[in-house]
Amino acid sequence: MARYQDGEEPAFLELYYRLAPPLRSYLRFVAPPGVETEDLVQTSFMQLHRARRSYRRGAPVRPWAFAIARHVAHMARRSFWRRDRHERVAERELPELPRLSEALDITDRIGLTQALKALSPGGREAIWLHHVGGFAFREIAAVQGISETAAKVRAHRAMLRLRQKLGAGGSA
Amino acid sequence: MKPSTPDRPGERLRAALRRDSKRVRPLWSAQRRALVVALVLGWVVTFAVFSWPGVSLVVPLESFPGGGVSAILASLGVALLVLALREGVPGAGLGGARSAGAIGCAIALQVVTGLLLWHGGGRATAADDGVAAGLHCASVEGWIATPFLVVAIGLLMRAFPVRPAASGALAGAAAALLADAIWHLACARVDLAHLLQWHAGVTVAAALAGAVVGRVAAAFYHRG
Repeated sequence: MARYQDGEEPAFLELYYRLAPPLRSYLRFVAPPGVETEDLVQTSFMQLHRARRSYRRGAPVRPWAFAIARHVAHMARRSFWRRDRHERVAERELPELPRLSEALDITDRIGLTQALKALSPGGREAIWLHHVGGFAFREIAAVQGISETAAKVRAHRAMLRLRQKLGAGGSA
Repeated sequence: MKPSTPDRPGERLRAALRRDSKRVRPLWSAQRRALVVALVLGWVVTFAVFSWPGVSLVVPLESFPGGGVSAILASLGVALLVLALREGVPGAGLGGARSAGAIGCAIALQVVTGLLLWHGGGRATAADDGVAAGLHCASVEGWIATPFLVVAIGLLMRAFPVRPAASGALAGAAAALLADAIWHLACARVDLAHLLQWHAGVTVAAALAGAVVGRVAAAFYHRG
C-alpha cells in the first residue's frame, strides 16, 4: 500500500489481485439485486484510488478498503431504489432451469438465502465479514463504524436468528 | 460502465490509473491536523475578532469564568475536530451513532460550563434586551465559526468520508465550540437563558448545518 501511495503501478495491481476476490464476494453479498457486482468492484477500486492518500501507513488495509466498498454498495443501493428497476430485475433474475442433481443443492441454497434475507442488513453483513471474509471483530467494527462489542453482539444475534430460521425451515 | 473481465482491472479503472498515478503524500494524523487548524486558524480569527472596532476582552484571561471556560470550550472543539477528521478516513471513524453521542456529550459539557458561569455570576436573570443581545451573539459566533467549518470540510474532502453527514456534523459542532471559546471572552452576559439559547444553541445549529454541508460537499467531490 505504501508503494502504491508512492505512485508504483505494479503495487496497485498487486493490491488489486489480493483485494478483488474478497471484495467481489462481499459486494455480491451486499449489493442490491439487479446491480452488476463487477461494476461495484471496479467503482470500489476507482474510489479506493481516489482515496489512497487517506490510508495511514502501517494500518490494516482490509478495514479501509472494505469501508470504501461498503460505501459504494450503499450508494448503489440508494440509486437502485431511486430508479425504475422492475424491468431490469425481471430480465436479469430469470433463472436457468437446473439439472436434477443440482436441484437439491439449489433448494438448500434458496433456504439459506431466504434465511439470510430475513436478517437485518448489518447482521447479515457482520456474518459474512466474520464467517466468510475471516475478519476479526475489531476489523468488522472499523468497517461498519460501530464498537467492537457492538460488532460481536450484532454477529451473535444474527447467527442466532439465522439458526432459528434454518431450524424452522427444516422442521416445516 | 463497460464490463470487464473479473481478474483484471476494467478499462475505466485503468484509464483513471493512467490519468493520475502520481505519488500522494499520506494525510497527517487527525490529531495533528486538528491541532494545526485550531492553533493557526484560532490565532488568526482571535486576532481578527479583537481587532474589530467595539470588540474588547471583557473577562480576565487568568480567571475560570474567562480563560478557564474558553480553554474548556476550545478543548472540546479540538476533540470534536479530531473525531471529525478521523471520521473522514474510511475504517477509522466512530460511526453515525457514536458521533451523535460525542456531539451530545460536548454540548452537555458546554451546558455545564454555562451553569457554572451562571452560578458563579450570582444567578443573573435575563435582561430586557435578551433577544437582541442573543441574536447578536449567535450571528457573531456563526461568522467566527464559518472559517473553521470551511477549513474542516476542506480537510474532510481531501480524505474520503464514508459517512459525510456524521463527519460534517462533528466538524460543525467543533467549529461552533471553537467560535464560542473565542467569543466568550468578549461576551459578558452570564444569565442562563442567554448561555443556553444563544451559545449552546449555536453549537446545535452548527452541527445540523455541518451535516448538510458535509453531505453536499461529499456528493460534489466524490461523485462518480
